[in-house]
Amino acid sequence: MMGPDRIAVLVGAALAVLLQIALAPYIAIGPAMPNFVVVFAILVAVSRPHAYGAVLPFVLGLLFDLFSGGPVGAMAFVLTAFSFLIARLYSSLENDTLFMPLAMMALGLLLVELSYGLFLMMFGYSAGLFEALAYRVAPCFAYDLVIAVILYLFTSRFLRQSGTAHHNITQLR
Amino acid sequence: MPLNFPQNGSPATRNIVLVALLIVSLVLVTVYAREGEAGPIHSVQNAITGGSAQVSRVGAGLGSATENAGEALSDLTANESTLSGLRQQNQELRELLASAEEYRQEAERLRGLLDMKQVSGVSGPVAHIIGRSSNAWDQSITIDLGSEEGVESGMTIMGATGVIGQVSSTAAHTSTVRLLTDPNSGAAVMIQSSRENGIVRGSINGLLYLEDLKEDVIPEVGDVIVTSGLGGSYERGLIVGAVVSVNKSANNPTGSIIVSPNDSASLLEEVIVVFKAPDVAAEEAAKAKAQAEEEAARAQAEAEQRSQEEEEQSEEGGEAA
Repeated sequence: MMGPDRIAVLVGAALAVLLQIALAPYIAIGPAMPNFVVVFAILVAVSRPHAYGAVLPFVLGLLFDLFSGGPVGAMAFVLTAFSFLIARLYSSLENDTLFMPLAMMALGLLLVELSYGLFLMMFGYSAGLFEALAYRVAPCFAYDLVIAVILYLFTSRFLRQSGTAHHNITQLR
Repeated sequence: MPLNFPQNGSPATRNIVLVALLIVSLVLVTVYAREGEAGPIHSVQNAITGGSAQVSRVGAGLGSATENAGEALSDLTANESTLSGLRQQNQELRELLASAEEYRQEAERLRGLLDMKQVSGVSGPVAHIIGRSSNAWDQSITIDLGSEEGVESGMTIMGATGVIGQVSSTAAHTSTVRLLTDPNSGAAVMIQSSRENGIVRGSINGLLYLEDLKEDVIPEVGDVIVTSGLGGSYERGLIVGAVVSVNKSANNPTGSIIVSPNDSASLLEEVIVVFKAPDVAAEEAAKAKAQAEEEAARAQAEAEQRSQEEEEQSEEGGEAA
């Protein structure tokens, strides 16, 4: 039977896809468009590092590829690989502070945005590496990070797995 | 198949699933890159992109929905007596006014498109923009006309004042349009005044660059750029924009030339799908033919006049003799 934590993850995933389709294009700031799908996958990887599997990021990435018009399989590959890596890394570096999950999320988001850009360039996207970094990777990463931090502070209690170390704002004090 | 979330399977199983999914991703990317536009993955993607555009349409109304929700909340906190008939009437009037304003704006935009069609002589249906790309790397829009309405890949798309892009893929009732500003876009163009050919390319920084001109051709700021129709990618003779910056010179033949597009898709809600552009080449040929006929007629008249004069002279000579 499906537990409440798993339902929370599924509802969150559906919401992330919906927000990416319906909201993201309209809240882009210049070249920076948030990617709710990536943010959610990385958020779950950090919130539930010991329990994180590869199917969720794969499905989310594949859906993103299908509705966004990019090469099908590119985001699926990148998101599966790096969210899994971040989950593993965080589960071994977890130190009961708020800094570590935020740092891991930042690293995950940066790796995903950067690798996706490299993937596109490999498949013929006409842009230089530095241009891509300046005009897409950096602005999108910054936007994603802001959303990820806000979402982490508000949603980690719903996403986290029982038995996992929890962090909240009070631990900052 | 259960989602591979928590507690499911040993670490070894999870690793196997991970590797399998990574391989599936790579296979999908490879097949996607190798198959053509008509391939099965492309077809599924086009259908899903078209469907998601309908969802995206909802997003545009999200702002007003949020506003209404706020109002409803304030109504809930008010007394029953304050919810008077006047308030209801006021609400209805406001809704009427808003929808009238919406219709007025749409009529104005459509009039603009109609003027454009009349001035440029293009023919084709007007399509509504129903979705915008949800991928930061992709500059494209989705329109509500597809292959069932006669839209085909490669057709030129125009706004009220100029070319904005080209149909890149079609589904039954929707089409995806790659904008001129997309880094993967390129349109064969010419400078209207000098008739020199070049290519306008989009870029990741959102600017349009005029490239592939002859080394000695240096356009001036303000030169109008129109599509040349070379290569058959865009219809000929449609306005793209104007040159706004020229860094190219005799000493710097590789300098950049920036073109400002006449129209921006971000400001549009309707576009024209160009089924047929005015046949500029035929018009030019007809003009040349008319001019040649006129010259021939003039030459014939002159020749007749000359022969008449000669006859008169010879008659006068005969009489004198």
